[in-house]
Amino acid sequence: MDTLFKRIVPKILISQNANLQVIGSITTKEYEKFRFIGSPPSQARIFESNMADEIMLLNLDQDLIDLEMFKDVVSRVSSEIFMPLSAGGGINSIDMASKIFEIGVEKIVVERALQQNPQEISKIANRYGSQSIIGSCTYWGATSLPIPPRLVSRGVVTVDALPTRLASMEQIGVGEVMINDASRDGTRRGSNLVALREALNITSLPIIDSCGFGKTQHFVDSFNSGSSAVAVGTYFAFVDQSFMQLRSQLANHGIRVRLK
Amino acid sequence: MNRLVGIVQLEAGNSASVERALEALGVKAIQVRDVKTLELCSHIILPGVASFGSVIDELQSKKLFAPLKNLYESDIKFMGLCAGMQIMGKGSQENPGVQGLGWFTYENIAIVNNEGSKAFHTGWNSVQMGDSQKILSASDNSSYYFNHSYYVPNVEEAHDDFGRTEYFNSTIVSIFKHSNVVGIQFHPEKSQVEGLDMLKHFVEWD
Repeated sequence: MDTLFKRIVPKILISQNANLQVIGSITTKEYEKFRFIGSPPSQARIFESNMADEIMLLNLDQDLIDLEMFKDVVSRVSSEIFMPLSAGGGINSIDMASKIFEIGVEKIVVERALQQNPQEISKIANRYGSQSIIGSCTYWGATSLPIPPRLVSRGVVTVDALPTRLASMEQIGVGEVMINDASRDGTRRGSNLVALREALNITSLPIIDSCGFGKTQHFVDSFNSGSSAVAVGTYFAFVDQSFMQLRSQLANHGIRVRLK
Repeated sequence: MNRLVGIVQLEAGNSASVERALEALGVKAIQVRDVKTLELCSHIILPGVASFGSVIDELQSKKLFAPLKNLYESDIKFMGLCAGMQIMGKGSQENPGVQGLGWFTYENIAIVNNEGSKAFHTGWNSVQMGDSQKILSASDNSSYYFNHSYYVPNVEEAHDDFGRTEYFNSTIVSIFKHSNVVGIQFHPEKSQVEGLDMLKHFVEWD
């Protein structure tokens, strides 16, 4: 086993607020926009002061927020915090990726571009290294319910498609994988451990487990199953839970997390 | 000599992040692109996220390679970050045949995982100081952000006076200080409070 610390990665979901006409961050539930929660730079500062291991900025409103606007948000965040940053949402070319890397971002997050433009992602991997790309796969883990049409149109796949997606990511040259169970998003009932274990069997890449985290035990279960990182959106937005508490609880469960 | 911190500007570098981190500490660094500016500095930082060969190429094309080579054991304090630390050695498996600054005799080698394939060391890890009590602000078990796939296995000239980080079966020299030079494999500019503290110690180093 490697000896890296297990990472806790807050996701800051960027969206345009229809009423306020401002770009801010939101939480989601089953990938539907849920609630407006504030300004990305100030949230990022709070996460940094709480020793979040990495911050992920995702553009959920690609129709309204173009690359320049998104870059502006990311750059405002990146100028105020001194920690690893990843960013994604609509990045599908090496030119777009370069613009994001230039502002001090370590990794880009790609999902649909892996299907639509895999050669371009391979180019990014060749120039910037695989470690600079997180390949994301959003699947519908509730097997008894069909995928809602609004998610099908956004490229969400059934859980059966996960193995093929992961295998192709490795070929394209991503350095890390993020798996998101849309049916658990924002529900706080725990992540999809079955899918996580399956993913671990398929790929040797580090896995970021995402969607559904609601209590410490969920983090323990995910890390003990083998995830390298956990990405959370809703968890720190509403739960009366602090990073420091979570961290020491995880350490008490024998999970290797940063404490200082 | 007046204290003046310079950051060598590399195309595929993280110089902007280092510059911002220094700004947060109240230090206004100057951007170094040529020898003239280099010679004004009392403290020089060479940040690098690119490959060994591309850092050397860029230093050559900016005519900075030879002047930097002469900096060793001078009055100017030098900090090499990531690839900036690696190029202080003789060479690297990453680009065989390309010569480094040669201040130290080390050769950089690839990190391999338990299956024997090349691996990235990307994430947070801790530093064991061993016999060294402290280098800059790095004390035993401090954690920092790493992002690399080649590493310095040993710095003979530093006589074991360095910090180490374990990853798979590799023992990585994560920080060392010798003469007027400090080499750091991780990224202090991305390592939150502990990282900023380290940069502060460097610019205050007399």
